[in-house]
Amino acid sequence: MKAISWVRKNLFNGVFNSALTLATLALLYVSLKGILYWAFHEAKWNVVPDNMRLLMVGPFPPEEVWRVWAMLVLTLLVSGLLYGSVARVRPPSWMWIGALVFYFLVWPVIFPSTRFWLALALLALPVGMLLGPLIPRKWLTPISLLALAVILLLPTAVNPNQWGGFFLTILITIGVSLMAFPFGLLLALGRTGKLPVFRTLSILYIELIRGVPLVTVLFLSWIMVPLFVPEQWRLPDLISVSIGFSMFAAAYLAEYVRGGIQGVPKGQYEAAWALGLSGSQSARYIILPQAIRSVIPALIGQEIAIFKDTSLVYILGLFDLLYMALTVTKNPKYLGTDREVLLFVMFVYFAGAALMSYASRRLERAMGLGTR
Amino acid sequence: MEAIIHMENVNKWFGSLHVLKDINLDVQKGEVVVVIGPSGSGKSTLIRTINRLEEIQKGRIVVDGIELNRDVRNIDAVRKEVGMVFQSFNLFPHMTVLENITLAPRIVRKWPREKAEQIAMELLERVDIADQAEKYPAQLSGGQQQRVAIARALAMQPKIMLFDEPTSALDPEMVGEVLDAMKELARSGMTMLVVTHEMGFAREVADRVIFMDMGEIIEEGEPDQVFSNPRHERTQAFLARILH
Repeated sequence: MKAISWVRKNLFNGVFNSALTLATLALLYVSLKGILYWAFHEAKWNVVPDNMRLLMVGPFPPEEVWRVWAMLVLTLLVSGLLYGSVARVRPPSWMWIGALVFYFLVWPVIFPSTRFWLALALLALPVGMLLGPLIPRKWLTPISLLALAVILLLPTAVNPNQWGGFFLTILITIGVSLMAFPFGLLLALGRTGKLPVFRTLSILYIELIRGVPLVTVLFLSWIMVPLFVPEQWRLPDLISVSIGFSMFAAAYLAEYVRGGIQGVPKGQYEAAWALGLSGSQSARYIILPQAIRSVIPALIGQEIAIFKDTSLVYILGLFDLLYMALTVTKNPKYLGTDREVLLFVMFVYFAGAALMSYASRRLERAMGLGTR
Repeated sequence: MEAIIHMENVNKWFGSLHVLKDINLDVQKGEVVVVIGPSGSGKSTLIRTINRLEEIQKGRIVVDGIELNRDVRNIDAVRKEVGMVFQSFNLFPHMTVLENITLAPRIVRKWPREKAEQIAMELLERVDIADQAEKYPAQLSGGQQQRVAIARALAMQPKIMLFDEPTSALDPEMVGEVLDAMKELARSGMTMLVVTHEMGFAREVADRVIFMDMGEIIEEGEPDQVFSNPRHERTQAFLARILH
């Protein structure tokens, strides 16, 4: 009854508003009808599950795909272990239920061979969280390092030119972030520091990079980086493009961190100096921790931008998610499925970005941003 | 006896503003000196030159036998021996009380964690807030924060303590607890230079009171003499205004 009175009060209060409401409904019906009809009757959604392996790992040899699965399972397991050990919380029930629901929803459309791995991947995170508190803390570092080594070794048996799909997208995102962050930090310190040479160089670099489009940087690094490397170690394109991408992202990260550094009150520097800390000690223990904490939302925003911008590497012929999607639509068997495949690609990017911004909000709350 | 702080013809300008004019000052070991004066008189700037938070353009400052000049090693050496307490506390908000206090001893003095923590707890005991060791600064009252700041400065085991208006940012009911900690410190024989408006504190523990105005030391002497019988008319006018 509440709903009816809400509708009367907000949508049908008066002749004019009632007319507007009806007109809007009519418009919505006309425009949505086509889309809904397409989505439920015409769209050949089976193109997505049929090509799932291509979309996820690209030209990765099918008999080696277990390596990617193992990387995923190990990553989730160790993340769960660390989180469970630090936060000391049991996995929430929605995690189990969500995993179960997801598993049975996709059950009919996945290949039998992947069902086993998918089950493992879905279980890895909550199981890790359960085991986390049981493991002595001093074992955590060796366990994580061992897992990291295994994760890094797993894909090396396959030529990097055969890495592809969403797997490659993720790899580029992580690799670029890891390279760009320390470089961005150095640039931010250089730009806010006292040494004129470093300050000028940092400003020049940051402003130059921020003044050019990412595509040009990617193209240039694709052509240029190999020139700096001896002929006999032919770098995979993946590496040269990632280097260019990192150099680009670092300029933006540097500006965010600089904002954070300039937001730290002068009294913090004075207190650090008065205690006898040197300039670099103050930066490391006092200024940067506060600066980075205050710009975490912006940093994660940049992280999301990196994730989405990896789609640009498709023009350089790297087999990322977008490249594989466009390849699938060129398969004569799936002609005319561009809309289905592109919508799926958008959904994957959206889900990834949503996950990252969710993690960012959790992180902010855990660190008590704005409260201390 | 050699003074532990020696200032000779010290001059400082902020741009064209002459904030310290020919300051000559000797502080003996164990002496408690209170600096008073109207705002903008240069008293904060004066004590901030002693650990080189402010650079001087002319003159000489020697602290515990170390010449304060452009040499970074000398500046670092002086800062190790000089503790400072600020008006706005300046605790590190991302660290617990215990971490605030142990940071400098651990990374500057290179003490092992156990030793630094043990001394930190003794100091917290001394300023009467040992039960707050695991809290973050934002969870403490102003008076508690300032006492943590005192403990943090003392943890480096300095020979000299500088106080820059330590009670000016506090609610009135918290001034007493901070002054008590400072009085206890003064009685223990610490060399102290205190910029403050707390005349009661000056009367009770100062060995010497310095009155500054417009960047100059106008008058100095024992507290009784300066407060009851000021010689200079500017001192008289200032005291009349704040003592009513």
